[in-house]
Amino acid sequence: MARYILKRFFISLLTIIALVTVVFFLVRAIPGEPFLSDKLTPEIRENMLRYYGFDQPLYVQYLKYVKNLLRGDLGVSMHYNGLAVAGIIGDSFPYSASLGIRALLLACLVGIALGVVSALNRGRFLDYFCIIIAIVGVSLPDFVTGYLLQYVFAIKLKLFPIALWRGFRYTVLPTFALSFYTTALLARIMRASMLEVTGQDYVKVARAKGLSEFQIVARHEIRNAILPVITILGPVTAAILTGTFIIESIYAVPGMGKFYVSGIQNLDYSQVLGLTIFYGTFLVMANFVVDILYGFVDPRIRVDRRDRA
Amino acid sequence: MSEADGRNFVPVSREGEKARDAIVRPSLSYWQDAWMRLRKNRVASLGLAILVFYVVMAVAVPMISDTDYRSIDEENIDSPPTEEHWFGTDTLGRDMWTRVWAGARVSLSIGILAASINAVIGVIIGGISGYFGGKLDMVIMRLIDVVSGIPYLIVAILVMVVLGEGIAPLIVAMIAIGWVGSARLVRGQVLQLKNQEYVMAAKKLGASHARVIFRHLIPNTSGLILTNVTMAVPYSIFTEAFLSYIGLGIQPPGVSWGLLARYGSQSFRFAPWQLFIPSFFIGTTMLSLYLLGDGLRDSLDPKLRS
Amino acid sequence: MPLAVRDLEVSFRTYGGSVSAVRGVNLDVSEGECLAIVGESGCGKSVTAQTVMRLIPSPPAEIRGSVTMDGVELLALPEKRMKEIRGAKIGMIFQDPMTSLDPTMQIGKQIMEALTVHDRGLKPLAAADRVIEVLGMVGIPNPEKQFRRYAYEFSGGMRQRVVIAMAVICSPRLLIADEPTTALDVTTQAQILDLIRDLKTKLRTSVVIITHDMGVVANMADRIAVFYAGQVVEEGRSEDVFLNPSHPYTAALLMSRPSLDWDRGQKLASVPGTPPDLFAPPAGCGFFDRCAAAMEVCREALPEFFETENHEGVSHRSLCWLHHPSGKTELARWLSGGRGLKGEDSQC
Repeated sequence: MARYILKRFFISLLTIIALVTVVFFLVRAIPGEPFLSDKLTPEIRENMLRYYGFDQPLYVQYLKYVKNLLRGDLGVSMHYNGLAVAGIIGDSFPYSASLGIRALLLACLVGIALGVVSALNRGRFLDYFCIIIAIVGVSLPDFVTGYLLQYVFAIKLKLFPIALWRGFRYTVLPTFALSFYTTALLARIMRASMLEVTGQDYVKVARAKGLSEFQIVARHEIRNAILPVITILGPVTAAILTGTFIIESIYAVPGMGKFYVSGIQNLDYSQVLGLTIFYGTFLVMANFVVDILYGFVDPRIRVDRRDRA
Repeated sequence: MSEADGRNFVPVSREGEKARDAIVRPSLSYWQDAWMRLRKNRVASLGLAILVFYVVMAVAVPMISDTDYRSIDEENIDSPPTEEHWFGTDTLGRDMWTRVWAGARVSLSIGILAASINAVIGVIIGGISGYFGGKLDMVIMRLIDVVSGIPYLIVAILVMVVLGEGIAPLIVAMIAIGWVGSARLVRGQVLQLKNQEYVMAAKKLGASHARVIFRHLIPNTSGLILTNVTMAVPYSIFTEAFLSYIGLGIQPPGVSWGLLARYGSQSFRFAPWQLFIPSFFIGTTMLSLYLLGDGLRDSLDPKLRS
Repeated sequence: MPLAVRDLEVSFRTYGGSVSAVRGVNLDVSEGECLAIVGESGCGKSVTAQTVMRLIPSPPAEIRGSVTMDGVELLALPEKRMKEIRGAKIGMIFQDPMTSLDPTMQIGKQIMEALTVHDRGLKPLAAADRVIEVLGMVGIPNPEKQFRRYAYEFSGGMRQRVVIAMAVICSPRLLIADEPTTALDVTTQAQILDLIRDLKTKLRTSVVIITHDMGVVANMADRIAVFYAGQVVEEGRSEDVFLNPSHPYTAALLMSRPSLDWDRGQKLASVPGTPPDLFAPPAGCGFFDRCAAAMEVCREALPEFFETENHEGVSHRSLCWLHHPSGKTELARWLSGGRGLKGEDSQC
């Protein structure tokens, strides 16, 4: 197990380094310049460029950026004069995280439950019901779900507030909207996985031992069927996190998404760079946690030195 | 046991009987069989029919329609669906019906192209990695591990920002790291096939690498790859929609389903059809592709042949 | 009588029509006896065993006939009562030890489950002790240490021992072993068979062993039932069936095994043809098409059981028209021709 964790840790570290490097040079390759406003005199522009270190060779800038990064300094926003990027994240990330975690939990709970119910009622009404939910869910882009829920439940039925983030009632629609796709995806995977497990010999053996159907499902089937679900939790977290960009804008949630999009539009290098690296690192760490979790749930992984195909 | 009287107890003559070990089932090739089973699967056939319909409409409507998707009807701004404008008009008075099908051209071709290119790159890299193995495989796998850890959409966003808008940058953005999924899949499959007895037998009998690859490995992975492409197209269409929606994909005066949805979302409180019509087409395309993909997976699985 | 199967019929509805997998099977297993069920793949032997355990969901399967254990009709038992019989009164061992164990659960816990599900009051510690005891009994070294290990850490033979431990931990009245050695290599096969025979004596349990390998049953079974196309075609004491096969199929099966006293260069015989299509069972004998001694009557009418000889009153039955009084001439010809297969050498 220690060997496995170490290997995963090493890969995650490499990924973060690759991420920082790729993102740094990509952002530097963005055409256009942040200080091309007519209001700025050439001298001020020179000063600004020097202040942000743009007068130095690229590799020096890169090393300096990495050095600062190691101290937790993500640079200073160019658009919001002098505002530290880390500060922007500190203010806005809690909202994004709160929305994201709610959606992720909801999606896992409901998705897995739907998948199990569907598989246990294979070919019956409940199964078709769950399949339809799942297939509709994966077919709708986030923004469609977001606007649809807002239109029906906030504008027409007036059951929930249209937007903003001021207490539980405000969180319901964005959470549902953000989790719908993932719920559907997990339900699909869980159903397929349950059906596969149901045909396994060890399930037959468990039945031959005298276990009841409920015991078989609870002790053997779900436990094994959940493994594929865990493997995709990493990508799922990524999908939810990027989904927050859109859901936040629809429901006017004061999260990070707004700053990311505005950073791109304003060519605010340091803001885009800082936020991207933060997002990326966060997701790499989420993947790492999922890998470790997987190692605990599936004992075979711990000694398996080959790669998972 | 009336029939069991003495006269029946004589040996049977085997003369003229057909060979006892003859194969009775008609033989069908793998693809014939898969196609037959796909056609029998009603849900998958429906998906295929919808897709074909959309493709035909996307090609035909902009060609035969007398209004251009950019032309403005100033008398009908934000018009709901009418006889003149089947899907209504947008905020500038442009006909939604022609816009939807012009957008379909862009969205569908991006989706199909990006997924196919991803698959080709994935097959080449994954195939090399799995087939030749050893150190090369190790290096490629570590590379894949690292690349797959980088969030896909974030890189896509950055690539779009760097390369600017348009169809080609969109496709590049999607394949920048999109290939790792299929590479991993193909590698796993090749690794498994490589150790099968019939492949080893072919090698021991002196088959060249090319023969093993083209006679054994490609035919046996093609079903999986085809299914994978079908399942990847929706993802590409989603990505196009997402990028266009946040303002990075197709730019006006170009049009795509994602862009239409973006416009629609801005006016959806008073003209909801402007959002829901493009959404309907995105949704049903996804749906059809998933249904077709599921059907393909089932009909291409040799284990399910019977 | 630990097990009595009467007129058992099992059919499955599939897209291609209804398949009769088991067509009127009668079997008896008496106290402490080992019955071997022999036959090729698809002959209905496993379906019969799983029907006894009621592991075949019905519907979709259609099951008729009767299966009794100590006089209790199992086929009519409510699921709740049947659960108490599975694992406790009847233990079952499956074919493939590689897939018979849950990969995510410690093997000790998996075995313990078989015990605690039938004895709710059992304290965990006492249960664990019993598991360790049984692990030792099935020949797993250092059972205390193995308790916490997972299936993937064991070899095929060791896994099969774990599966056996699971099947016998409640000291069942009947142990059904469905091809317990097919997936194992030859040396391990012998060890597992020894173990099953050993446990049979120790636990005084009756055993039904299912196999397609005549060699497996030779020195293990008291009685043999030969299955063909969903029917028992011959049944009798082990030595009777081996030395005096009275059904052409049994004879062909025995002939298709190599033997040490064969001549150099002698060809191994195989049974020509394939079993009948059970989507449309034949009107007459299922072996008709492949039989070297087939008669006109075999095409037209289902054979019945005939007692072929009486060894001190022990029954030896055969489902073949050759043993009908009118079939005497053909029977004699068959026997003198070396029970049918010699003439077919060229074809094989």
